Amino acid sequence: MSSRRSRQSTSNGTSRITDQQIIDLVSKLDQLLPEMRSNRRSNKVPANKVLQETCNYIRDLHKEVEDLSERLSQLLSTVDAESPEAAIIRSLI
Amino acid sequence: MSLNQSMNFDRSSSRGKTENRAQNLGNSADIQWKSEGQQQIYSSELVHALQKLRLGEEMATNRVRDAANRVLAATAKGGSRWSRAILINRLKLKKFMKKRNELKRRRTGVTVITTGNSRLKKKSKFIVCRLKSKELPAFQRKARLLGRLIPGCQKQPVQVVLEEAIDYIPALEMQVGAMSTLVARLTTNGSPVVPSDGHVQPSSTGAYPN
Repeated sequence: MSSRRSRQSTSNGTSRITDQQIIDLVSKLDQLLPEMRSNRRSNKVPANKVLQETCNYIRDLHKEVEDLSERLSQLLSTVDAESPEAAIIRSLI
Repeated sequence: MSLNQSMNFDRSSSRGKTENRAQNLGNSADIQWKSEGQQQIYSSELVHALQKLRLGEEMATNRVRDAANRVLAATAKGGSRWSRAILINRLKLKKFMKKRNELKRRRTGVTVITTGNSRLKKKSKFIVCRLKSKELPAFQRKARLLGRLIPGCQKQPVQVVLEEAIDYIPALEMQVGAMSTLVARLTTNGSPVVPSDGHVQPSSTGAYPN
């Protein structure tokens, strides 16, 4: 159980998790996040901030999926009575 | 000397591989999930799945969301940990729910006791984690948080969590885009707006005779 940032070999033993790898991954992640600020201080965004933003962003996306599925369920349940809607839905594909 | 040189060579090549791997991961994730074709595939699969649901019982938000996640995971074709976790968890959940329902019908007392025990166990684990987390740097704590958000990554090391996040976020964005497109189409294409008298009328003009 490696609870610290592991400088030891991993369980599969082929590669060590180096800080550089983590930094690369974090920068990749940072590019995916929506940047609200106009100027991107790409060199100086700390990893903690990126992780925090990632958590918030994933939570927001989950919430949005939840809302959308609620709307979809309402729409589909009200649409259920009309059979032409099924044809429309199929034609949308 | 030759041994050291070979070791250095191996290390640099592995480092090069991992750097390339990080880049490839990002590029492939973007390419895979952000392509228009992928979204269309997902939309069609989602519509099929939702239609199957319609034939059954009433639509519930949870079932729609689960269907959407399941189709998303299926579209990933098992390339990532979170997609496999979603698909496996559905099977586990089904079995677990069946067992739980059977137990509930037979003896309710026993299930209460077992849930109490599991709660205590969870509490003690949580307390232990709290004590440990004071020693952990904030980075590790946030990585654990992130791991809990992504399905299937709850106890994975930081590297795995980051890689999964890099793949998961474009997939989620695509899911949101596809579902909102679907909702928009359903609302503009004559989805019934239910007025107060309860009579269903389509909102589009000319598509259906009133």
